[in-house]
Amino acid sequence: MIRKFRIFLNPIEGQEKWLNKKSKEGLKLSKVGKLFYEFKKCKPNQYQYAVDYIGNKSNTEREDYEGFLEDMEINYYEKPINLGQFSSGRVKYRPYANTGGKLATSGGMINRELLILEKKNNGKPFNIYDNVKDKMIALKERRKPYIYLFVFTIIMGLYIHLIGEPLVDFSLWSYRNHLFDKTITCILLGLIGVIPIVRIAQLSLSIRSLKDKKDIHE
Amino acid sequence: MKDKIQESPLTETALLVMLAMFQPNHGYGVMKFVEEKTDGRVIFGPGTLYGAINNLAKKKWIAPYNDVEGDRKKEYIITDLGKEQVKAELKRLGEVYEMGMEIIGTGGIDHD
Repeated sequence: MIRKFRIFLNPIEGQEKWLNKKSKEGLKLSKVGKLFYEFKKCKPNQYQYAVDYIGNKSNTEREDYEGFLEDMEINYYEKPINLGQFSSGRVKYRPYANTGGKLATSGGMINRELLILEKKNNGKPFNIYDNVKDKMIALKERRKPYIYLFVFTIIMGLYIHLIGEPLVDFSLWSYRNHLFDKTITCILLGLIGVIPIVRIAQLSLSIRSLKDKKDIHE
Repeated sequence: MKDKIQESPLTETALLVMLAMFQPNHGYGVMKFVEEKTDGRVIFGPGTLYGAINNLAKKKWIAPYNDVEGDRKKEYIITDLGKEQVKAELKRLGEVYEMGMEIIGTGGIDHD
């Protein structure tokens, strides 16, 4: 058993590429945790991987989809994407999900926003969506959590500026200097804010290039 | 209850899924059928096929078919309404094909 830790800035394509590279090296996924992956040895390129975003699905929809994947002889691993959602105790609010998926409860939806799909390599490309329209819909669904995260950081930033409370107390380092706290919090928020901006831009570009195709190709 | 026949063209995905369901069929069977019949040109992605089956079932163009007890795979079969959609689409495709052949002039159509 080989254990690897890995965090992805691009949880779909980045993760897909990495897993397929591991497969090329003769490693097959055996277990997936929040940040770690466990691999078993296999023949090089024996398996193919693709990552699907299912954070917009309700619990019933997810179970139905997983049942379908089993019928398709595709193995899957659930994986969290910790973005743009607000947790309180055992309930997580996902404003970007479809009706029924907005309130994720510990019953089954928390930490199951991504599905890693695994199938035996048949030498043909493994795409979850094979036409332009479906690819566009999937990209738009994936863009939603980043939009919410972006709006959330803006609101937090405004709150700090207008109300003047730093939210986070860095008094240990700043000797109770509020201005210092505010600055640090703003910098942190700014850093968090950069991630959704970059991802929204990337996803929007992909969506736009598909839009041009959509009118001509299926 | 009966819906009007769809006038706009069907997507290739919808048409192929319905053709594969003239016999009771499940997701994996549909994918294999289409891959074989199109010589590997069309290989459905699981997300696309899942969406297509759900949409067709919602429109009642296909319906769940549970004949064999204990078979856990979810099977579907095309409905009469679905068959009408397929016929209308094939007619439309036939017209486009004939027109196209007439224009490019290879005369590849036998009319008898």
